[in-house]
Amino acid sequence: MNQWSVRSFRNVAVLVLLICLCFMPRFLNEYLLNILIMTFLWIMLTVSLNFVGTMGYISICHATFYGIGAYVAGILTFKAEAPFVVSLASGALGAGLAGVLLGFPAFRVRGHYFAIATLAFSLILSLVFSNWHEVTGGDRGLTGIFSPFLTSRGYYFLMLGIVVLTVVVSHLVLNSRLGRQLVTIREDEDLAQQMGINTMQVKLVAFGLASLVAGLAGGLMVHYVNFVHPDFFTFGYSFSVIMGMLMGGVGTTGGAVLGGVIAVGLPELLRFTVGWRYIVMGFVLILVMILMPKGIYGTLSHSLSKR
Amino acid sequence: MFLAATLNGIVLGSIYILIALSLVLIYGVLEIPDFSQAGLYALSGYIALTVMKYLGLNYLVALLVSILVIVCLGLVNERFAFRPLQHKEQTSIFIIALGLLFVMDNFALVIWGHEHKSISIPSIAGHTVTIGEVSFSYERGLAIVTAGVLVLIVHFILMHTRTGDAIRAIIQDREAAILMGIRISRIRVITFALSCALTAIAGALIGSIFSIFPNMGDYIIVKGFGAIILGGMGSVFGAAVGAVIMGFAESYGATYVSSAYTDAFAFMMIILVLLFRPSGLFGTKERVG
Repeated sequence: MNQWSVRSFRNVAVLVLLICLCFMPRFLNEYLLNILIMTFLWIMLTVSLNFVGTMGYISICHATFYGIGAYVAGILTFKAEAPFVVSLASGALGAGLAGVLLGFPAFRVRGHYFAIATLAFSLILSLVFSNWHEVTGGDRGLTGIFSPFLTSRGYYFLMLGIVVLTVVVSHLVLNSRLGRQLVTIREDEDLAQQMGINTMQVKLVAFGLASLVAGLAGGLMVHYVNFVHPDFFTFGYSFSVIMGMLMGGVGTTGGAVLGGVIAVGLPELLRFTVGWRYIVMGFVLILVMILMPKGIYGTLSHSLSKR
Repeated sequence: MFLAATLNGIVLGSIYILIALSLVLIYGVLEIPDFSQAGLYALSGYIALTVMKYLGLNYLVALLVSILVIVCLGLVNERFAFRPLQHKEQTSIFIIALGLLFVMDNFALVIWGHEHKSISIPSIAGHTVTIGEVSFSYERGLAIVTAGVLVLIVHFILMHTRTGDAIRAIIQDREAAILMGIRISRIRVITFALSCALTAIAGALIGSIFSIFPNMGDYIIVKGFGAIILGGMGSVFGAAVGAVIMGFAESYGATYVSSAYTDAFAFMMIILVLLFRPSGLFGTKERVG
Protein backbone atom coordinates (compact mmCIF):
# COMPACT_ATOMS: atom_id res chain seq x y z
CA MET A 1 0.00 0.00 0.00
CA ASN A 2 1.28 3.46 -0.71
CA GLN A 3 1.57 6.27 1.80
CA TRP A 4 -1.78 7.84 0.90
CA SER A 5 -3.88 4.68 1.10
CA VAL A 6 -2.27 3.68 4.41
CA ARG A 7 -3.17 7.04 5.84
CA SER A 8 -6.77 6.99 4.61
CA PHE A 9 -7.15 3.38 5.80
CA ARG A 10 -5.99 4.50 9.22
CA ASN A 11 -8.37 7.47 9.30
CA VAL A 12 -11.35 5.29 8.36
CA ALA A 13 -10.38 2.70 10.98
CA VAL A 14 -10.16 5.39 13.69
CA LEU A 15 -13.56 6.80 12.69
CA VAL A 16 -15.26 3.37 12.72
CA LEU A 17 -13.67 2.61 16.09
CA LEU A 18 -14.94 5.91 17.56
CA ILE A 19 -18.50 5.31 16.33
CA CYS A 20 -18.42 1.79 17.77
CA LEU A 21 -17.14 3.10 21.11
CA CYS A 22 -20.04 5.63 21.23
CA PHE A 23 -22.60 2.84 20.95
CA MET A 24 -20.76 0.36 23.20
CA PRO A 25 -22.66 1.10 26.46
CA ARG A 26 -25.92 -0.08 24.83
CA PHE A 27 -24.56 -3.56 24.30
CA LEU A 28 -22.08 -4.16 27.11
CA ASN A 29 -22.72 -5.31 30.66
CA GLU A 30 -21.22 -3.58 33.73
CA TYR A 31 -18.16 -5.85 33.76
CA LEU A 32 -17.16 -5.16 30.16
CA LEU A 33 -17.94 -1.47 30.54
CA ASN A 34 -15.66 -1.43 33.58
CA ILE A 35 -12.86 -3.01 31.54
CA LEU A 36 -13.31 -0.38 28.84
CA ILE A 37 -13.10 2.43 31.40
CA MET A 38 -9.92 0.89 32.87
CA THR A 39 -8.54 0.62 29.34
CA PHE A 40 -9.20 4.34 28.83
CA LEU A 41 -7.28 5.14 32.04
CA TRP A 42 -4.36 2.98 30.93
CA ILE A 43 -4.35 4.50 27.45
CA MET A 44 -3.86 7.85 29.18
CA LEU A 45 -0.89 6.35 31.04
CA THR A 46 0.81 4.72 28.04
CA VAL A 47 0.18 7.69 25.75
CA SER A 48 1.66 10.08 28.30
CA LEU A 49 4.64 7.86 29.11
CA ASN A 50 5.25 7.74 25.38
CA PHE A 51 6.33 11.42 25.50
CA VAL A 52 9.23 10.32 27.68
CA GLY A 53 9.77 7.11 25.69
CA THR A 54 9.96 9.03 22.42
CA MET A 55 13.09 10.79 23.63
CA GLY A 56 14.67 7.45 24.48
CA TYR A 57 14.28 7.73 28.24
CA ILE A 58 12.60 5.10 30.41
CA SER A 59 10.81 6.35 33.50
CA ILE A 60 9.93 3.75 36.14
CA CYS A 61 7.69 6.01 38.19
CA HIS A 62 4.68 6.58 35.98
CA ALA A 63 2.35 4.78 38.39
CA THR A 64 3.74 7.10 41.08
CA PHE A 65 2.52 10.20 39.21
CA TYR A 66 -0.77 8.40 38.69
CA GLY A 67 -0.74 7.88 42.47
CA ILE A 68 0.06 11.52 43.24
CA GLY A 69 -2.89 12.60 41.08
CA ALA A 70 -5.11 10.02 42.76
CA TYR A 71 -4.09 10.97 46.30
CA VAL A 72 -4.34 14.73 45.74
CA ALA A 73 -7.77 14.43 44.10
CA GLY A 74 -8.93 11.88 46.65
CA ILE A 75 -7.75 13.82 49.70
CA LEU A 76 -9.21 17.12 48.42
CA THR A 77 -12.56 15.44 47.82
CA PHE A 78 -12.46 13.42 51.03
CA LYS A 79 -11.25 16.06 53.49
CA ALA A 80 -12.14 19.39 51.84
CA GLU A 81 -15.14 18.35 49.76
CA ALA A 82 -13.63 20.08 46.76
CA PRO A 83 -15.71 20.12 43.56
CA PHE A 84 -15.01 17.41 41.00
CA VAL A 85 -13.21 19.59 38.48
CA VAL A 86 -11.10 21.33 41.13
CA SER A 87 -9.94 18.01 42.58
CA LEU A 88 -9.04 16.67 39.12
CA ALA A 89 -7.15 19.82 38.16
CA SER A 90 -5.23 19.87 41.46
CA GLY A 91 -4.31 16.21 41.07
CA ALA A 92 -3.04 16.76 37.55
CA LEU A 93 -1.11 19.93 38.50
CA GLY A 94 0.33 18.27 41.61
CA ALA A 95 1.64 15.36 39.56
CA GLY A 96 2.95 17.66 36.82
CA LEU A 97 4.79 19.76 39.40
CA ALA A 98 6.27 16.64 41.00
CA GLY A 99 7.41 15.56 37.54
CA VAL A 100 9.22 18.83 36.87
CA LEU A 101 10.79 18.80 40.37
CA LEU A 102 12.06 15.24 39.86
CA GLY A 103 13.15 16.03 36.31
CA PHE A 104 15.58 18.76 37.44
CA PRO A 105 18.00 16.39 39.17
CA ALA A 106 17.10 13.19 37.27
CA PHE A 107 17.66 14.57 33.76
CA ARG A 108 21.25 15.35 34.60
CA VAL A 109 21.92 11.68 33.91
CA ARG A 110 20.96 9.49 30.98
CA GLY A 111 20.04 5.94 30.07
CA HIS A 112 19.55 3.47 32.87
CA TYR A 113 20.87 5.98 35.43
CA PHE A 114 17.80 8.09 34.75
CA ALA A 115 15.59 4.99 34.99
CA ILE A 116 17.07 4.10 38.38
CA ALA A 117 16.70 7.66 39.69
CA THR A 118 12.99 7.50 38.83
CA LEU A 119 12.79 4.05 40.43
CA ALA A 120 14.33 5.46 43.63
CA PHE A 121 11.78 8.30 43.55
CA SER A 122 8.90 5.85 43.15
CA LEU A 123 10.14 3.74 46.07
CA ILE A 124 10.35 6.86 48.28
CA LEU A 125 6.81 7.91 47.33
CA SER A 126 5.54 4.35 47.98
CA LEU A 127 6.90 4.66 51.52
CA VAL A 128 5.22 8.04 51.92
CA PHE A 129 1.88 6.73 50.63
CA SER A 130 1.85 3.85 53.11
CA ASN A 131 3.40 5.60 56.11
CA TRP A 132 1.89 9.11 56.22
CA HIS A 133 -1.21 7.84 58.02
CA GLU A 134 -2.78 11.22 58.89
CA VAL A 135 -3.01 12.29 55.26
CA THR A 136 -3.01 9.22 53.03
CA GLY A 137 -4.72 6.78 55.39
CA GLY A 138 -1.56 4.64 55.38
CA ASP A 139 -1.86 0.97 54.49
CA ARG A 140 -5.64 1.05 54.80
CA GLY A 141 -5.95 3.67 52.06
CA LEU A 142 -8.87 6.08 51.76
CA THR A 143 -12.33 4.67 51.17
CA GLY A 144 -15.67 6.28 50.34
CA ILE A 145 -14.37 9.11 48.18
CA PHE A 146 -17.42 10.91 46.85
CA SER A 147 -18.02 11.00 43.12
CA PRO A 148 -20.71 13.06 41.34
CA PHE A 149 -21.20 10.32 38.75
CA LEU A 150 -23.71 7.71 39.81
CA THR A 151 -23.70 5.44 36.77
CA SER A 152 -20.70 3.90 35.09
CA ARG A 153 -22.37 4.75 31.76
CA GLY A 154 -22.07 8.48 32.45
CA TYR A 155 -18.46 8.01 33.50
CA TYR A 156 -17.82 6.02 30.34
CA PHE A 157 -18.70 8.98 28.13
CA LEU A 158 -16.66 11.39 30.26
CA MET A 159 -13.66 9.06 30.00
CA LEU A 160 -14.18 8.54 26.27
CA GLY A 161 -14.11 12.31 25.76
CA ILE A 162 -10.95 12.76 27.83
CA VAL A 163 -9.15 9.87 26.13
CA VAL A 164 -9.96 11.21 22.68
CA LEU A 165 -8.65 14.59 23.82
CA THR A 166 -5.45 12.99 25.17
CA VAL A 167 -4.88 11.08 21.94
CA VAL A 168 -5.42 14.23 19.86
CA VAL A 169 -3.00 16.20 22.07
CA SER A 170 -0.44 13.39 21.79
CA HIS A 171 -0.82 13.30 18.01
CA LEU A 172 -0.35 17.09 17.80
CA VAL A 173 2.62 17.09 20.17
CA LEU A 174 4.46 14.25 18.41
CA ASN A 175 3.97 15.92 15.01
CA SER A 176 4.99 19.34 16.24
CA ARG A 177 8.35 21.03 16.62
CA LEU A 178 8.50 19.64 20.18
CA GLY A 179 7.87 16.12 18.88
CA ARG A 180 10.71 16.38 16.40
CA GLN A 181 12.98 17.72 19.14
CA LEU A 182 12.12 14.67 21.25
CA VAL A 183 13.13 12.36 18.40
CA THR A 184 16.36 14.32 17.90
CA ILE A 185 17.19 13.89 21.58
CA ARG A 186 16.63 10.14 21.25
CA GLU A 187 18.85 9.90 18.19
CA ASP A 188 21.73 11.96 19.55
CA GLU A 189 21.37 14.13 22.61
CA ASP A 190 24.74 15.86 22.31
CA LEU A 191 24.05 16.69 18.70
CA ALA A 192 20.59 18.03 19.61
CA GLN A 193 22.25 20.34 22.11
CA GLN A 194 24.80 21.53 19.60
CA MET A 195 22.03 22.23 17.10
CA GLY A 196 20.65 24.75 19.55
CA ILE A 197 17.91 22.70 21.18
CA ASN A 198 17.59 23.54 24.85
CA THR A 199 17.55 19.84 25.73
CA MET A 200 16.97 20.31 29.46
CA GLN A 201 13.92 22.49 28.80
CA VAL A 202 12.51 20.08 26.19
CA LYS A 203 13.02 17.10 28.47
CA LEU A 204 11.36 18.90 31.39
CA VAL A 205 8.38 19.94 29.25
CA ALA A 206 7.89 16.38 27.98
CA PHE A 207 8.29 14.87 31.44
CA GLY A 208 6.03 17.46 33.05
CA LEU A 209 3.35 16.92 30.42
CA ALA A 210 3.61 13.14 30.85
CA SER A 211 3.23 13.35 34.62
CA LEU A 212 0.40 15.90 34.30
CA VAL A 213 -1.64 13.50 32.14
CA ALA A 214 -0.80 10.59 34.47
CA GLY A 215 -1.99 12.70 37.43
CA LEU A 216 -5.23 13.50 35.61
CA ALA A 217 -5.74 9.78 34.99
CA GLY A 218 -5.13 9.17 38.71
CA GLY A 219 -7.81 11.68 39.70
CA LEU A 220 -10.26 10.14 37.23
CA MET A 221 -9.47 6.70 38.64
CA VAL A 222 -10.20 7.83 42.21
CA HIS A 223 -13.57 9.27 41.26
CA TYR A 224 -14.42 6.07 39.46
CA VAL A 225 -13.43 3.43 42.04
CA ASN A 226 -14.06 5.76 45.06
CA PHE A 227 -11.03 4.25 46.74
CA VAL A 228 -7.28 4.77 46.85
CA HIS A 229 -4.64 2.42 48.21
CA PRO A 230 -0.79 2.46 48.15
CA ASP A 231 -0.72 -0.96 46.42
CA PHE A 232 -2.09 0.61 43.21
CA PHE A 233 1.09 2.58 42.63
CA THR A 234 3.94 0.12 43.09
CA PHE A 235 6.88 -0.85 40.87
CA GLY A 236 4.71 -3.59 39.32
CA TYR A 237 2.20 -1.06 38.03
CA SER A 238 4.82 1.33 36.74
CA PHE A 239 6.41 -1.57 34.97
CA SER A 240 3.06 -2.65 33.51
CA VAL A 241 2.75 0.80 31.91
CA ILE A 242 6.25 0.42 30.45
CA MET A 243 5.41 -3.10 29.24
CA GLY A 244 2.26 -1.89 27.52
CA MET A 245 4.06 1.02 25.90
CA LEU A 246 6.96 -1.12 24.64
CA MET A 247 4.71 -3.92 23.37
CA GLY A 248 2.56 -1.42 21.50
CA GLY A 249 5.52 0.51 20.17
CA VAL A 250 7.33 3.64 21.35
CA GLY A 251 7.33 6.88 19.41
CA THR A 252 3.89 6.85 17.82
CA THR A 253 0.50 7.71 19.29
CA GLY A 254 -1.03 4.62 17.67
CA GLY A 255 1.53 2.34 19.26
CA ALA A 256 0.97 3.91 22.68
CA VAL A 257 -2.83 3.51 22.38
CA LEU A 258 -2.38 -0.13 21.39
CA GLY A 259 -0.04 -0.45 24.38
CA GLY A 260 -2.76 0.74 26.78
CA VAL A 261 -5.18 -1.79 25.27
CA ILE A 262 -2.61 -4.57 25.68
CA ALA A 263 -1.74 -3.58 29.25
CA VAL A 264 -5.38 -4.03 30.31
CA GLY A 265 -6.57 -6.55 27.71
CA LEU A 266 -3.85 -9.18 27.94
CA PRO A 267 -4.11 -9.74 31.74
CA GLU A 268 -7.91 -9.67 31.37
CA LEU A 269 -7.83 -12.37 28.66
CA LEU A 270 -5.48 -14.41 30.82
CA ARG A 271 -7.62 -13.97 33.93
CA PHE A 272 -8.30 -17.75 34.06
CA THR A 273 -4.59 -18.34 34.75
CA VAL A 274 -4.86 -16.32 38.01
CA GLY A 275 -1.38 -15.21 39.10
CA TRP A 276 0.42 -16.69 36.11
CA ARG A 277 -0.88 -13.97 33.81
CA TYR A 278 1.78 -11.47 34.90
CA ILE A 279 4.46 -14.07 34.30
CA VAL A 280 3.08 -14.58 30.79
CA MET A 281 3.04 -10.77 30.34
CA GLY A 282 6.70 -10.60 31.28
CA PHE A 283 7.65 -13.33 28.83
CA VAL A 284 5.60 -11.72 26.05
CA LEU A 285 7.44 -8.45 26.72
CA ILE A 286 10.84 -10.14 26.50
CA LEU A 287 9.82 -11.88 23.26
CA VAL A 288 8.51 -8.64 21.75
CA MET A 289 11.70 -6.79 22.76
CA ILE A 290 13.87 -9.43 21.09
CA LEU A 291 11.75 -10.14 17.98
CA MET A 292 9.95 -6.83 17.37
CA PRO A 293 12.06 -3.99 18.75
CA LYS A 294 9.67 -1.45 17.21
CA GLY A 295 6.69 -2.92 19.04
CA ILE A 296 3.60 -4.53 17.59
CA TYR A 297 2.17 -1.33 16.07
CA GLY A 298 5.51 -0.27 14.63
CA THR A 299 6.10 -3.67 13.04
CA LEU A 300 2.55 -3.92 11.68
CA SER A 301 2.45 -0.44 10.14
CA HIS A 302 5.93 -0.98 8.70
CA SER A 303 4.90 -4.19 6.93
CA LEU A 304 1.60 -2.63 5.79
CA SER A 305 3.24 0.33 4.09
CA LYS A 306 5.91 -1.88 2.48
CA ARG A 307 3.34 -4.11 0.78
CA MET B 1 21.77 1.66 71.42
CA PHE B 2 24.84 2.77 69.48
CA LEU B 3 26.43 -0.68 69.73
CA ALA B 4 23.23 -2.38 68.59
CA ALA B 5 22.95 -0.02 65.63
CA THR B 6 26.60 -0.59 64.73
CA LEU B 7 26.27 -4.38 64.84
CA ASN B 8 23.10 -4.17 62.80
CA GLY B 9 24.90 -1.97 60.30
CA ILE B 10 27.63 -4.58 59.94
CA VAL B 11 25.04 -7.30 59.28
CA LEU B 12 23.21 -5.19 56.68
CA GLY B 13 26.53 -4.20 55.16
CA SER B 14 27.53 -7.86 54.76
CA ILE B 15 24.36 -8.67 52.86
CA TYR B 16 24.66 -5.52 50.72
CA ILE B 17 28.29 -6.33 49.96
CA LEU B 18 27.28 -9.64 48.34
CA ILE B 19 24.58 -7.96 46.24
CA ALA B 20 26.85 -5.05 45.32
CA LEU B 21 29.69 -7.38 44.26
CA SER B 22 27.26 -9.38 42.17
CA LEU B 23 25.97 -6.20 40.51
CA VAL B 24 29.37 -4.66 39.90
CA LEU B 25 30.82 -7.84 38.36
CA ILE B 26 27.90 -8.21 35.94
CA TYR B 27 28.03 -4.47 35.25
CA GLY B 28 31.56 -5.02 34.03
CA VAL B 29 30.56 -7.46 31.30
CA LEU B 30 26.97 -6.40 30.57
CA GLU B 31 27.42 -2.61 30.98
CA ILE B 32 24.10 -2.33 32.77
CA PRO B 33 23.20 -3.10 36.38
CA ASP B 34 21.38 -6.43 36.16
CA PHE B 35 18.31 -5.82 38.31
CA SER B 36 17.03 -9.33 37.61
CA GLN B 37 19.47 -10.38 40.34
CA ALA B 38 16.79 -9.09 42.72
CA GLY B 39 14.44 -11.81 41.51
CA LEU B 40 17.14 -14.47 41.86
CA TYR B 41 17.85 -13.20 45.36
CA ALA B 42 14.22 -13.73 46.41
CA LEU B 43 13.97 -17.12 44.66
CA SER B 44 17.14 -18.26 46.40
CA GLY B 45 15.59 -17.57 49.80
CA TYR B 46 12.47 -19.48 48.86
CA ILE B 47 14.39 -22.42 47.41
CA ALA B 48 16.50 -22.77 50.56
CA LEU B 49 13.37 -22.54 52.68
CA THR B 50 11.52 -25.16 50.60
CA VAL B 51 14.44 -27.60 50.58
CA MET B 52 14.76 -27.38 54.37
CA LYS B 53 11.08 -27.47 55.17
CA TYR B 54 9.70 -30.00 52.73
CA LEU B 55 12.71 -32.21 52.05
CA GLY B 56 13.96 -31.98 55.62
CA LEU B 57 17.57 -31.43 54.57
CA ASN B 58 20.01 -29.31 56.54
CA TYR B 59 20.90 -25.68 55.87
CA LEU B 60 24.20 -26.36 54.16
CA VAL B 61 22.59 -28.70 51.61
CA ALA B 62 19.74 -26.24 51.09
CA LEU B 63 22.29 -23.49 50.47
CA LEU B 64 24.13 -25.60 47.90
CA VAL B 65 20.89 -26.58 46.13
CA SER B 66 19.81 -22.98 45.95
CA ILE B 67 23.21 -21.83 44.63
CA LEU B 68 23.01 -24.53 41.94
CA VAL B 69 19.47 -23.66 40.87
CA ILE B 70 20.10 -19.90 40.90
CA VAL B 71 23.32 -20.18 38.90
CA CYS B 72 21.49 -22.30 36.29
CA LEU B 73 18.63 -19.78 36.15
CA GLY B 74 21.06 -16.89 35.83
CA LEU B 75 22.84 -18.62 32.95
CA VAL B 76 19.51 -19.27 31.23
CA ASN B 77 18.73 -15.56 31.58
CA GLU B 78 22.14 -14.69 30.16
CA ARG B 79 21.80 -17.06 27.20
CA PHE B 80 18.19 -16.48 26.19
CA ALA B 81 17.41 -12.93 27.29
CA PHE B 82 20.61 -10.87 27.47
CA ARG B 83 22.67 -12.42 24.69
CA PRO B 84 20.15 -11.90 21.86
CA LEU B 85 20.12 -8.20 22.75
CA GLN B 86 23.81 -7.68 23.39
CA HIS B 87 24.27 -5.26 20.50
CA LYS B 88 21.15 -3.21 21.28
CA GLU B 89 21.25 0.00 23.28
CA GLN B 90 21.70 -0.28 27.04
CA THR B 91 18.18 0.87 27.83
CA SER B 92 16.71 -2.21 26.10
CA ILE B 93 18.98 -4.53 28.05
CA PHE B 94 18.00 -2.78 31.26
CA ILE B 95 14.29 -3.25 30.41
CA ILE B 96 14.92 -6.96 29.80
CA ALA B 97 16.49 -7.18 33.26
CA LEU B 98 13.43 -5.48 34.76
CA GLY B 99 11.17 -7.81 32.76
CA LEU B 100 12.95 -10.84 34.22
CA LEU B 101 12.63 -9.33 37.69
CA PHE B 102 8.90 -8.78 37.12
CA VAL B 103 8.47 -12.41 36.01
CA MET B 104 10.42 -13.78 38.99
CA ASP B 105 8.61 -11.54 41.52
CA ASN B 106 5.27 -12.79 40.25
CA PHE B 107 6.48 -16.39 40.09
CA ALA B 108 7.43 -16.25 43.77
CA LEU B 109 4.07 -14.67 44.54
CA VAL B 110 2.14 -17.43 42.72
CA ILE B 111 4.11 -20.31 44.21
CA TRP B 112 4.76 -19.16 47.78
CA GLY B 113 2.12 -16.49 48.42
CA HIS B 114 2.66 -13.02 49.84
CA GLU B 115 3.06 -13.91 53.55
CA HIS B 116 6.45 -13.17 55.07
CA LYS B 117 8.35 -16.37 55.85
CA SER B 118 11.66 -17.09 57.50
CA ILE B 119 14.28 -19.81 57.51
CA SER B 120 15.13 -21.34 60.85
CA ILE B 121 18.42 -23.19 61.14
CA PRO B 122 17.77 -25.79 63.86
CA SER B 123 21.43 -26.28 64.86
CA ILE B 124 22.03 -22.64 65.74
CA ALA B 125 18.50 -21.24 66.20
CA GLY B 126 17.99 -19.44 69.49
CA HIS B 127 21.69 -19.23 70.35
CA THR B 128 23.04 -15.79 71.05
CA VAL B 129 26.27 -14.20 72.15
CA THR B 130 26.13 -11.16 74.39
CA ILE B 131 28.36 -8.25 73.42
CA GLY B 132 28.16 -5.44 75.96
CA GLU B 133 24.46 -5.33 76.69
CA VAL B 134 23.44 -6.37 73.19
CA SER B 135 22.55 -9.96 72.40
CA PHE B 136 23.67 -11.06 68.99
CA SER B 137 22.22 -14.13 67.29
CA TYR B 138 24.38 -16.85 65.69
CA GLU B 139 22.56 -16.34 62.39
CA ARG B 140 23.82 -12.78 62.20
CA GLY B 141 27.32 -13.94 63.01
CA LEU B 142 27.03 -16.54 60.26
CA ALA B 143 26.03 -13.85 57.76
CA ILE B 144 29.00 -11.65 58.66
CA VAL B 145 31.51 -14.50 58.56
CA THR B 146 30.14 -15.88 55.28
CA ALA B 147 30.20 -12.45 53.64
CA GLY B 148 33.73 -11.87 54.87
CA VAL B 149 34.95 -15.20 53.49
CA LEU B 150 33.20 -14.60 50.17
CA VAL B 151 34.74 -11.16 49.81
CA LEU B 152 38.17 -12.74 50.31
CA ILE B 153 37.37 -15.45 47.75
CA VAL B 154 36.17 -12.90 45.19
CA HIS B 155 39.27 -10.81 45.89
CA PHE B 156 41.46 -13.87 45.32
CA ILE B 157 39.69 -14.80 42.07
CA LEU B 158 39.92 -11.27 40.73
CA MET B 159 43.51 -10.61 41.73
CA HIS B 160 45.27 -13.96 41.47
CA THR B 161 43.70 -15.94 38.65
CA ARG B 162 43.84 -15.51 34.89
CA THR B 163 40.05 -15.41 34.72
CA GLY B 164 40.09 -12.66 37.31
CA ASP B 165 42.62 -10.70 35.26
CA ALA B 166 40.31 -11.06 32.26
CA ILE B 167 37.27 -9.90 34.24
CA ARG B 168 39.17 -6.87 35.52
CA ALA B 169 40.45 -6.07 32.05
CA ILE B 170 36.90 -6.12 30.68
CA ILE B 171 35.66 -3.91 33.52
CA GLN B 172 38.45 -1.42 32.82
CA ASP B 173 38.23 -1.27 29.05
CA ARG B 174 35.96 -3.58 27.14
CA GLU B 175 37.23 -2.87 23.63
CA ALA B 176 40.88 -3.12 24.57
CA ALA B 177 40.19 -6.40 26.36
CA ILE B 178 38.56 -7.88 23.25
CA LEU B 179 41.49 -6.68 21.13
CA MET B 180 43.87 -8.38 23.56
CA GLY B 181 42.19 -11.69 22.69
CA ILE B 182 40.05 -12.14 25.76
CA ARG B 183 37.09 -14.33 24.85
CA ILE B 184 34.36 -12.13 26.17
CA SER B 185 31.49 -14.62 25.85
CA ARG B 186 33.35 -17.13 28.02
CA ILE B 187 34.14 -14.49 30.63
CA ARG B 188 30.50 -13.37 30.52
CA VAL B 189 29.30 -16.86 31.44
CA ILE B 190 31.85 -17.20 34.24
CA THR B 191 31.00 -13.76 35.62
CA PHE B 192 27.27 -14.45 35.53
CA ALA B 193 27.80 -17.76 37.35
CA LEU B 194 29.96 -16.11 40.02
CA SER B 195 27.53 -13.21 40.48
CA CYS B 196 24.49 -15.46 40.70
CA ALA B 197 26.23 -17.60 43.29
CA LEU B 198 26.87 -14.48 45.41
CA THR B 199 23.24 -13.41 44.99
CA ALA B 200 22.01 -16.88 45.92
CA ILE B 201 24.09 -16.95 49.10
CA ALA B 202 22.84 -13.48 50.06
CA GLY B 203 19.22 -14.57 49.56
CA ALA B 204 19.62 -17.74 51.61
CA LEU B 205 21.46 -15.87 54.39
CA ILE B 206 18.94 -13.05 54.71
CA GLY B 207 16.13 -15.59 55.11
CA SER B 208 17.53 -16.68 58.46
CA ILE B 209 17.88 -13.10 59.75
CA PHE B 210 14.93 -11.19 58.32
CA SER B 211 11.91 -12.46 56.45
CA ILE B 212 11.38 -13.70 52.90
CA PHE B 213 8.64 -12.23 50.71
CA PRO B 214 8.14 -12.17 46.92
CA ASN B 215 9.38 -8.66 46.14
CA MET B 216 12.06 -8.53 48.84
CA GLY B 217 14.68 -8.03 46.16
CA ASP B 218 13.20 -4.81 44.77
CA TYR B 219 14.47 -2.67 47.62
CA ILE B 220 17.78 -4.37 48.20
CA ILE B 221 18.77 -4.21 44.53
CA VAL B 222 18.33 -0.44 44.50
CA LYS B 223 20.50 -0.27 47.63
CA GLY B 224 23.07 -2.53 46.00
CA PHE B 225 23.05 -0.18 43.04
CA GLY B 226 23.41 2.72 45.49
CA ALA B 227 26.50 1.01 46.85
CA ILE B 228 28.10 0.65 43.43
CA ILE B 229 27.42 4.24 42.41
CA LEU B 230 28.82 5.41 45.75
CA GLY B 231 31.87 3.36 44.89
CA GLY B 232 32.08 4.78 41.38
CA MET B 233 30.43 2.15 39.13
CA GLY B 234 33.38 0.21 37.76
CA SER B 235 35.29 -0.31 40.97
CA VAL B 236 34.96 -3.61 42.84
CA PHE B 237 36.68 -2.21 45.93
CA GLY B 238 34.51 0.90 45.79
CA ALA B 239 31.37 -1.22 45.61
CA ALA B 240 32.34 -3.11 48.75
CA VAL B 241 33.02 0.11 50.66
CA GLY B 242 29.79 1.61 49.30
CA ALA B 243 27.83 -1.39 50.54
CA VAL B 244 29.22 -1.02 54.07
CA ILE B 245 28.39 2.71 54.01
CA MET B 246 24.83 1.89 52.89
CA GLY B 247 24.49 -0.65 55.71
CA PHE B 248 25.65 1.79 58.40
CA ALA B 249 23.64 4.71 57.00
CA GLU B 250 20.51 2.60 57.04
CA SER B 251 21.08 1.17 60.50
CA TYR B 252 21.90 4.53 62.14
CA GLY B 253 19.08 6.22 60.23
CA ALA B 254 16.59 3.66 61.55
CA THR B 255 17.88 4.00 65.11
CA TYR B 256 18.24 7.75 65.40
CA VAL B 257 15.88 9.29 62.86
CA SER B 258 12.89 7.25 61.73
CA SER B 259 12.40 3.56 61.21
CA ALA B 260 9.46 3.90 58.80
CA TYR B 261 11.53 5.93 56.36
CA THR B 262 14.82 3.99 56.61
CA ASP B 263 14.70 2.94 53.00
CA ALA B 264 13.88 6.47 51.90
CA PHE B 265 17.31 7.70 53.16
CA ALA B 266 19.08 5.17 51.00
CA PHE B 267 17.06 6.18 47.93
CA MET B 268 17.51 9.92 48.59
CA MET B 269 21.22 9.24 48.81
CA ILE B 270 21.16 7.64 45.35
CA ILE B 271 19.41 10.64 43.83
CA LEU B 272 21.85 13.00 45.58
CA VAL B 273 24.92 11.06 44.47
CA LEU B 274 23.64 11.06 40.89
CA LEU B 275 23.12 14.80 41.23
CA PHE B 276 26.32 15.99 42.85
CA ARG B 277 28.91 13.29 42.44
CA PRO B 278 27.96 11.19 39.41
CA SER B 279 31.39 9.56 39.36
CA GLY B 280 30.89 8.18 42.86
CA LEU B 281 32.85 8.83 46.05
CA PHE B 282 35.88 6.86 44.90
CA GLY B 283 35.40 7.15 41.17
CA THR B 284 38.02 8.86 39.08
CA LYS B 285 36.69 8.28 35.59
CA GLU B 286 33.95 10.77 34.71
CA ARG B 287 30.86 8.87 33.73
CA VAL B 288 28.94 9.74 30.57
CA GLY B 289 25.74 7.97 31.69
